[in-house]
Amino acid sequence: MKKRVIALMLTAVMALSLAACGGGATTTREDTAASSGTAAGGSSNKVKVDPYAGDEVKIAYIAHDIGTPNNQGWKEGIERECASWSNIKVDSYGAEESAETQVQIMTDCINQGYNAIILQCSDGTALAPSVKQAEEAGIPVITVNLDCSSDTIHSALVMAVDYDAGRMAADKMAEQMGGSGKIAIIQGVPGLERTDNLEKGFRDTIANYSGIEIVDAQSASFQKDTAMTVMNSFLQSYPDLKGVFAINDAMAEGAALAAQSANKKGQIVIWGADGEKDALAMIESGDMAGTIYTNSWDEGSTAAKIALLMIGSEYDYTCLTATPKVIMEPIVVTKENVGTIAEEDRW
Amino acid sequence: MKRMNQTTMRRLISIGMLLILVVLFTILAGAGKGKFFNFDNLIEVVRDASIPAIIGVGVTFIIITAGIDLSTGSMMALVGMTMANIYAYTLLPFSVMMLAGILVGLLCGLCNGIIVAKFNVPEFIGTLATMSIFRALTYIIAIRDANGVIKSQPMNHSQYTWLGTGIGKFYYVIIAMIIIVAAGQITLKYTRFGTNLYSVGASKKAATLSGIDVAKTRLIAYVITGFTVAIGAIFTTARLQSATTAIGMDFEFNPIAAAVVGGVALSGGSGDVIGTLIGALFMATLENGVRKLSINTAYQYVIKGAIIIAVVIFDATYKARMDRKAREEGAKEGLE
Repeated sequence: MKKRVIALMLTAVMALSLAACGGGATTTREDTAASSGTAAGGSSNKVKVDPYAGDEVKIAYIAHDIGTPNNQGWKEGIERECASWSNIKVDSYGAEESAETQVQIMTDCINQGYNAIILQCSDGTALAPSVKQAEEAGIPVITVNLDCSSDTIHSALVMAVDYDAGRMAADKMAEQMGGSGKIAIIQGVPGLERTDNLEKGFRDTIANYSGIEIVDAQSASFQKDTAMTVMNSFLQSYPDLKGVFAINDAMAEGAALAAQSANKKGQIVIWGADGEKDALAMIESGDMAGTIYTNSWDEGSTAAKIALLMIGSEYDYTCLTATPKVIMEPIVVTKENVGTIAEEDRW
Repeated sequence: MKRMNQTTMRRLISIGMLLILVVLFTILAGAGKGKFFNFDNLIEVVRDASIPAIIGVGVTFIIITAGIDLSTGSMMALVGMTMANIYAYTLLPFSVMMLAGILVGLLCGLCNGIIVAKFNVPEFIGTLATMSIFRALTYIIAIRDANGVIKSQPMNHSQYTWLGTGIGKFYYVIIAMIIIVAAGQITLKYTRFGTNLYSVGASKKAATLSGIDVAKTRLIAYVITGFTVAIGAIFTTARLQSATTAIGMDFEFNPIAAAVVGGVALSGGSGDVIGTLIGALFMATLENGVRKLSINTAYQYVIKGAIIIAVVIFDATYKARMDRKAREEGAKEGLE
């Protein structure tokens, strides 16, 4: 049911952004099929194949760090979406957290002639040329959460809400802290639009609460173990720290563990974002105060749906005036409502 | 009685390993359209091998003197970020920007050289320390937005990014690699400095006694590495069309691994630049091929590690055997 709603939403988004194609876009399917699948938008590199009609299709999924729960969630979502069709093949690649490696893998995938690439950018600026190159070669690129720099138009961006998620977390945190106290932020890898926006939304909203002060912000590169070190130093520098907002759940978990070993369990309001399984369990046990949950499986399968849609369509990026965004619905999770997230939706 | 010497044999082994890998991937991934053995892919392998090979030239010099450099990855980031600053805040021509990058590379190499050669800090510790210093300096000079958050700096002016492309598929980075490897090999084999490098690596004491300035030789090797790192950084940023603080993270082991696989013994005194090039090609082939097989990419690290251990064991046992043989022959001659 939920998936169908997303698919509808998606189609609407696509339709809106494709409207930019103007008259050409109204050509009927039969017409374009006859003209051997050249795009109505003008590009001739894209070869139209129909994955739903049995044409051989292969999709590449390239992650920043394939080992993380988020990436595994997307990977599983993509694979589930494609599992029903034996003609659709999905290959997953991990870039070992390096933009250089990811660029090499992108070039490789373009050479290998994948029909679509689903990409989580290690670095938006560094990956932009590769994304452009892929689109020019007729390979639709769908970015997941971590987009390439915004002026590089590509097939789609599937993302969890960022700015507003930061705002939601801030409001709920302020409520839990009783409207006063010191907060520290644990940042991810700087320079990524999603994490920067999360932080921005958080900061903008906290600014409304005069009693709350953001005393520090340090990066822990999305890593649980690094976050423990960062949290320890926060605890040393600010003995009266009352809240911590980590840009992702892994870091929030690390912070919670550090608070636990400093015998401060439950005294510090620790928030994360993503909503992975472990974090939800930590919210249940009271180690963490809350998170912004997004269903990664849905997110992955949505990305796969768009990929298949773009593969089977006569349009390509030249029809777009901006990268279409599909935004996943966020849920604010605290101890009160964590039970409402069913076991089968925990990734 | 003609016996193949160790250098020739070692060269044949590394070429053999490379060929075996190529044949293996051609068979395994070649079913149908030939995913591995086609021109487009093979040139991509050479392109991926270029940066480790370029930096490997300098690292080879250092390893021949029985040293090591762990700071090359961080140095790349620092050079890249220096150029990004010039790109972002000045209107200087790109040639000046690149010269500044090379200057920073040379300075970093000089720092390493002074620490290691003049103050006799063990290479491993000295360059491990500069590895974190260079990385930290990169963060300090990183470009930040109004909120103080580090952002990656685009460097996408066409007068710079052409370096990341090539004449058709013949990428400029490959051409640069060929030039630098050739220059390195000539330096190593046909100049006094090259001979000195081998002497220092074989025995510092003997080198000193024969009048070689050991400290100066080692220092120059580090400065040369700084230069090759700068060249590597220029091509990397040109390909990425940006500079990030994460450039070269965990990179330092690639040129070292390339050198070791190519027959440059970590104990010093043997090996050459061509060997390192073969090693770099081997590593790039492995990475590329494993991707084609759609198996877990983690296996490539297992294979890489296993091969490095195997060649080091070979080098060590072969050396021990040859030493024993030389001793026995020497003893025999003594008896006669």
